[in-house]
Amino acid sequence: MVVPNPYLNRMPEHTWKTGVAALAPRSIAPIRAKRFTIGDGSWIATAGSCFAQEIGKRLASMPGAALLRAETAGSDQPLFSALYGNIYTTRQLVQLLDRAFDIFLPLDNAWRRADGRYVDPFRPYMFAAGFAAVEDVANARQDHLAAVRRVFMDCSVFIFTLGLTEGWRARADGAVFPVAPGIVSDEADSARYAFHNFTYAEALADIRDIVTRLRSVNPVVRVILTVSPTPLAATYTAEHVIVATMHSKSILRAVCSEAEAEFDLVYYFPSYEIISGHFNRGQYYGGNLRTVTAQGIEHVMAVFRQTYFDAQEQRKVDKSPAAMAPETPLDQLVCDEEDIVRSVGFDCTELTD
Amino acid sequence: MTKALVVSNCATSAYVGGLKVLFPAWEVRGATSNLAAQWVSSNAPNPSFVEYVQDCDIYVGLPPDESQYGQLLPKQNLRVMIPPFRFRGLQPDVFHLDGFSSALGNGSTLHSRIITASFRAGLTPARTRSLFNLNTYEAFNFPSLYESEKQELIGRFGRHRIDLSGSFERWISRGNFLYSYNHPRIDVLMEILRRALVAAELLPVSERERDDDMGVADDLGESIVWPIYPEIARLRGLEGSLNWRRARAGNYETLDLNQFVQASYKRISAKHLETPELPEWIDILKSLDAF
Repeated sequence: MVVPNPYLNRMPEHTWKTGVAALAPRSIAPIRAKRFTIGDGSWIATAGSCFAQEIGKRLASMPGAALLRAETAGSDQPLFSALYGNIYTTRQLVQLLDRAFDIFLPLDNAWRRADGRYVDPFRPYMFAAGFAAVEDVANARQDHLAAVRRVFMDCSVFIFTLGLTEGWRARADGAVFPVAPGIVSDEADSARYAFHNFTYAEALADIRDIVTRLRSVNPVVRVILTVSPTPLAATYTAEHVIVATMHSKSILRAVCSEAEAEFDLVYYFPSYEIISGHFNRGQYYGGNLRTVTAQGIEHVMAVFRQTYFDAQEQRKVDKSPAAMAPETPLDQLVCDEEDIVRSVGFDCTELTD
Repeated sequence: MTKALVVSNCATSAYVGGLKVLFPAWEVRGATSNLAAQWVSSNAPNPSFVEYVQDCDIYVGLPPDESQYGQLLPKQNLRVMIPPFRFRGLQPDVFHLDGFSSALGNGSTLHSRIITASFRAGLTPARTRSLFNLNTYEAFNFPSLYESEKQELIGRFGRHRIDLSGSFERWISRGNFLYSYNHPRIDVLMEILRRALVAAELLPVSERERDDDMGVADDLGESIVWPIYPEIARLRGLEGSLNWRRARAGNYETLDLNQFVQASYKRISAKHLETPELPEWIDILKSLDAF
């Protein structure tokens, strides 16, 4: 019996030659088979690592997308749906849910900075000026957690960007923090805290917990998982940071697929692949090979639009130049004109080149 | 004396000029963001710039985020964030094609979507010229871009507490306010600057009523020009044109549509093999029976 080549009838995107090699990098759109349409009236909530901030910023200005904002972020604060700051690990998000619904009351109430001001250990950089007293931290947190509850209960779509497996936690109660306590406070007792690198099993258990709990307070929610393509700034393991990065991202990426397969309401969006894939020859990373450029974010958001917004609207959006944003990163937009005045008041003769 | 530092894009000198008018007692200096980045790098340091950054009381300009010069700014200084101006609602055909210098000269990478797609599709320059009409613009969805770009711009500035709602109507009531999509007229830049300073409580709220250019030189008006195509201009009650202004050997010259298409083809064909495929735009051209 003749067995036909099973790949002959595959679509162009299923083969490397037609799905990648034949295309300009910026036109590559890895749209997932499992997807849904974010309809009018949907509220999108975001949480996660630094990369999620960028997603949030773009969503806030995307026509047809409504970013849920339970707390208003100031110009110097990261844009998420509430002022929780960066959530790098899955355990942080589990504990945020627990704290919001009074299931977990961590022992670490406030950390004292070197300047004498106090900060919330779970969002230490959210308020640059800090607080005068421990009570002030607690009061601000009370309002904040009320807002977090609204985020979890009111959102239609919850986008969580998984960032790291490495984290720091309190030995006493397991509270996990976004940064090592010693970075924020010089009073941090190293005996009270420990480094922890979450395993695949732990991260998967956390995501299962998050999805189950989220659904229990918000039965209509859908969850989009992404993995931050930003490499680790530093590792506390004994490994080279490149190896530690691959370890971390591989676990998180695998957890996403497992969760997507397990829960109908979970969807994986491939921002990690779009940014870090070698098909783009590294052009979506800045000069430090770590920071994701605005150009990369634009590509991610263009694919996001194509994936999650309805087909009719999408055709309209795709053909518009808005979907094909200028190639220059927005925050680095410089003038096209070489002879525009480039400096005022500085002595250029001091240039050494 | 209060020391103010401006780091922005092509608007840098305008913001410096505006601050000097508004606060004559201040010392105000500025640099474009890429020059600032260069001056704090180890490759081309400028000690006087570094010293000024570390010593300035007020920072005005692009959000410094994780930039190297941003790291040098004093933690306690006042920061007045002004995001980059970018509005393609009136010049929706324009886009950046990295690595391909444009017919506008001077290192510009601004190109026309219609021309670039036509070139990639193998159309003749004559056929490409004939595509500059409302049918094509609508197929590319250009007219509808005005509103979404406007909301995007208002939102982008609003996130830095710069309220531009209502500004568009005033700007456009005085005619075309853009030399190219990221080069607005000087009164627009001055209005943005004043509103940013009001938000930072450096100016009284009454300054929101002003809409003049404060006598600051309109340097961008002496630079390149991307026209608002007549059919698109008419939709906004403006007078359009199909004349581009390009820089050449220190001077500027005007190119009509025929010249601009020819010059664009020449520029793009110089790197033909690297031209992006642009399948979506070519599909639009097919829908217009352009072949």
